[in-house]
Amino acid sequence: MNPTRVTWAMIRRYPATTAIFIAVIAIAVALGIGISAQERALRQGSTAAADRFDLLVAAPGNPTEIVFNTVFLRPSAVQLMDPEIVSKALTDPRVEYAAPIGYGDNVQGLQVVGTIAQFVDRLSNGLGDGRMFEAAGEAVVGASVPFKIGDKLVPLHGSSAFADEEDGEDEHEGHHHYELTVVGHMKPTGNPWDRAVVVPIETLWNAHGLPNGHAEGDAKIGPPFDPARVPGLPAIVIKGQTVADMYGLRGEYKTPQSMAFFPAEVLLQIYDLLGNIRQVMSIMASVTQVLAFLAIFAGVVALMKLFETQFAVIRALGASRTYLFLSIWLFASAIVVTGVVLGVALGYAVAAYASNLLQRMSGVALTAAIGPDEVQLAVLGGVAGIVLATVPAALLYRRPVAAYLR
Amino acid sequence: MGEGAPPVLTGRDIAVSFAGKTILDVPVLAVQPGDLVALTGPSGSGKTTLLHVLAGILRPDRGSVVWGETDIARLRQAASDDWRYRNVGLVFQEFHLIDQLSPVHNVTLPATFAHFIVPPELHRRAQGLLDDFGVPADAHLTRTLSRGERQRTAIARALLLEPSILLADEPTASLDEDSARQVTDTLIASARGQTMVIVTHDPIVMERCRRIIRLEHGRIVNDDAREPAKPSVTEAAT
Repeated sequence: MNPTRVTWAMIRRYPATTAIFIAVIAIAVALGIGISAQERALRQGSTAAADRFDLLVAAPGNPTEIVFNTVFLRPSAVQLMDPEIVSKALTDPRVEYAAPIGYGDNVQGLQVVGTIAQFVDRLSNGLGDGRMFEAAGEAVVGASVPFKIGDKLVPLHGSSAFADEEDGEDEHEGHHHYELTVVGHMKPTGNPWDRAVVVPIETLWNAHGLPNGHAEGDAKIGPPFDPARVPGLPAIVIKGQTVADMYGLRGEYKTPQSMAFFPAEVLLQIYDLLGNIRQVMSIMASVTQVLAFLAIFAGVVALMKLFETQFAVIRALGASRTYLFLSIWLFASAIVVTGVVLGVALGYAVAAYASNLLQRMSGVALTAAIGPDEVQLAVLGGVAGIVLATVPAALLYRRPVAAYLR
Repeated sequence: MGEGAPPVLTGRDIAVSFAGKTILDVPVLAVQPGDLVALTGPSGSGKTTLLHVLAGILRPDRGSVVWGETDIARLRQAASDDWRYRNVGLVFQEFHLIDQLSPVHNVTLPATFAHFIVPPELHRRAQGLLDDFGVPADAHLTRTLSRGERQRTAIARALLLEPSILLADEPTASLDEDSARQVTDTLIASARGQTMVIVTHDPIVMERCRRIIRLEHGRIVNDDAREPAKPSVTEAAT
């Protein structure tokens, strides 16, 4: 028995209608696949982006805001840590390094971030080109920054994190009258630091008229810092000597004057929220899929009614009911399978496009991919559709033959 | 043909009702092997109903329809389908071909009821029948054929599996006179030993049949055996 010839004839008889049915299913499936793939891309991208930010210490406030400020370089006005806590953290003997993070200026819209060479090295895992900054006027730029080594940059004041400590003039955008020379390029990091101009923290402290962490007139950069000459900071990234040190430091800096947390803690909360949103949207997508299947199969039943005489003839010629059942079921299943396959492709395309768009907007490397979750979703949708495809077949295959031959 | 031989079809007490009204009431009907029977009568007289009963498409409310030794009125659905597949070729007034398939694929369609791949010998037979019937073998889609060609394609489909019974429901009713004559010639000429029952109003068809049964109000009112007319030029040529 081979009913595919009849199935093929049905498809050829109504190509436009069949195409519309397939498109509806493809869109419904793409919705679920796109949401799932995009959510995972966001999770993986943000995890990778925050991977090298071991322990964050900041003034009490919203940890999510600090993660967004320091990891994702989306600065907002946050409270600065007390200089006493900053100097304690920067000189703590249990740390492998403590990287002060300062920001507030920009060059052609690119964030100017102040930190120490050791942290740049950890983020970038060695430079891609040039050398590390060695003086206050030097800068290392992220992999996506178009500046060349030797370029001179004049930063503009943006929404300064140091605003609280500065005079009113600095709260508005304008020149700081300092110049940077690009001396190196970082390797791609997959996070927004790829689009940053990274300078010694002292450069920003100097530019904002703050103590620069060293003795008056000392042009030295990087640790060790003079505890008496350290200003307030938005955040410090700390890597402890040992894992136990990390947890010890985390506990120690959870005080009324400071908070300490692993970025993963914040990300997990975000993922939890994302997961809930994803779950709700996945349920909505599944419901949409089922509704699409039901609508399509109602359409298939209506369409097949136009074939009733043809079906009666096929039966009259000696075809079994099974042959007819399979013809209709294959037609509906072909629509489902084609729709699901196209839906997966469309879902991937949408997720890839959205990832690309978000990557350009955020700087976080996002890679949308079809993983086991999406395959499972597609297979489940396909199987459900193929099972539901028996409904129109079951409704039509038992029709009396003689009635449609007159 | 078949004079004196036991009938190939014996129908007894066949009755079909619809909405409480008897639309077919045939106490007895016998057809000899290889006979060529025309069923005629006014519209609504029960011709097509009787044809459907003889084909096993419609189960009578009572009575027996014995082809050879098989009472098809008592067969279960699947067995009835299988019997029809093996024994009956059907031709319809409106051809009922699948327009989206080529003539060859239409003719070989019944082979797909039992085979996943159409056996090459059946494919060759389909091509041969279409050639014999003058249907363009290179036609891509059936809908491009003339009405006469389409009906001849339908006859080829009915003959593909070499059925012993050929049943036709007004095969020339929707054709012009020339096409009707050609189709009749094709149909009659192809009946090589097959028992043929044709529902028709068409004198062209009736004059070629050996026996004419007339129905009125579901009953047989006349049953004439006669000498059929000679074949037309077309049949003589085939």
